[in-house]
Amino acid sequence: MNAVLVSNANKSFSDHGRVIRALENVSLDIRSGEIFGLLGPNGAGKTTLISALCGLLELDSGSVEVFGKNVQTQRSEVIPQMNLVTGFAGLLHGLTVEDLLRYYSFLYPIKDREKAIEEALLVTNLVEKRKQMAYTLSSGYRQRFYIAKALLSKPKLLLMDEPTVGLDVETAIRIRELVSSLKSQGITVLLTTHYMAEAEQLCDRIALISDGKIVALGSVSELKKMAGKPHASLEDTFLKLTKKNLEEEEDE
Amino acid sequence: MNSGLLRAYSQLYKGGKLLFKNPFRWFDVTVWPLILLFSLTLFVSFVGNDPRLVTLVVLGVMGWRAVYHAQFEVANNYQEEFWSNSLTHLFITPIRPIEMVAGAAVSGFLKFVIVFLMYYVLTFFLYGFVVPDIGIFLIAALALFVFGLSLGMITLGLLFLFQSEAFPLSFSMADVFVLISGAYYPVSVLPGPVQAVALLLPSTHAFNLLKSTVGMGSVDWVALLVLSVVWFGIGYAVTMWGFHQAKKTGKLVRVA
Repeated sequence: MNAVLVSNANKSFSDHGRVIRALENVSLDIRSGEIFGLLGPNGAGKTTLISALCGLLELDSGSVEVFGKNVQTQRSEVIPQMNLVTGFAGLLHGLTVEDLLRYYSFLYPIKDREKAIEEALLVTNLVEKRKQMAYTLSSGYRQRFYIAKALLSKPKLLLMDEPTVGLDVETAIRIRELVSSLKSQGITVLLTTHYMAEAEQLCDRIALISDGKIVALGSVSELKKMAGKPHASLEDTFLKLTKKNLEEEEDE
Repeated sequence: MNSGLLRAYSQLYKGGKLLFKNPFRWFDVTVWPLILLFSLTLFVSFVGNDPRLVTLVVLGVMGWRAVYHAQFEVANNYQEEFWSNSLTHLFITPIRPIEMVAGAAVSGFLKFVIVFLMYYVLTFFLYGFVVPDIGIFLIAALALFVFGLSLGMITLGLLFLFQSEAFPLSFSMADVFVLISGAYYPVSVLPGPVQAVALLLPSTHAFNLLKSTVGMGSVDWVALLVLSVVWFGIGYAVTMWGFHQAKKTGKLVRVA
């Protein structure tokens, strides 16, 4: 079974009378147990797609299914199976790392809450930070916190929105190792990133999104071939396809 | 514990942790309620020290706080997440708006109890105040609290829709509605059109219930019950409508 199936997803926003097409007939599937990359320039529609996947945003048309259930109409069955890692949202002020993890643990059906908190702290190397106010964590530890929070609920699908953005080299390496280890635990991962090398290292398959449209989808080697030149890198394909898409938009 | 109850409890847990970790948050159940109380009781003492008037004012102020704590806690529970920019983390979880309201309602109720006890002890020793009829008082306080929840849900629905632009509502809605409900004065002193509006509020009839215990005001039980149910229904509908609209427009999370 597919972990995720997006079919003909369309979403537009109105901004001061101007219509912005954030998603345009987006269709893709993510297989169970794979790390799936979603790459695209800023404003391409990555976060919009992730928000639709989480049920935080209603599509104008089309559908999103997670493990065979519709995200909007069967939300209560779908949401407990997934979680989100994003550095674009903040941390609730006034609670320690441990308290905040406990707070989020109450929101999921977890059998042994304290054990789950301890495991999450251990896996993400946050044990020594447990009494620190969460919002005072440095960016590297914040990312670890987001992952700890996400792992609490033992999700089958993890959405990771630029998990290594702004991190120093060493912390980024550790986060990537953590993402790799998720796959061995059978967790399906949807990863967005601006780092091509990271996508190449981690992802089984990648979709390129530009201006709300999926412009390519395949394995790293398949995408490299689309660049149309020998020894092409993923970056070459990315630039070729996203630039082409933007030029077509401008022509229209 | 049932999953829904646990999710509601999470909001109580958050509120409790925030309250106990920051002494300034206690102002909401100590300093501000005392300012409201003494600004009125001192004035009543100054103009005549009539024990019946003191009772009327103290009952009115207690009722006021019942509406306020219910309404404000529901709205502020959301605002805490907004100010921390953590709404995405909250709404990715299975929590439902009604569970947020339920958790905040318990938190607001506990704060009201703290304020009520503080008021009672202080006014008993300073003015010899006693609640004339505890049964009637409890019914009126419950009705006012439920109306506060209805206002809280209306505020929450508008916060979903308008986000920070609607924040002033959180801090003013309860007070505006209490003011036109005749907390410790008859609604007949209000301008005509405002009186008509006042009669459509369950709070007006609940305050009349409180006033009746000191021989002032008549009680319309049917209006109190029917209007309480209607306003609660409106509150729930506005919350759910605001939530769904926010998911459509992308305002629930900042994606646009």
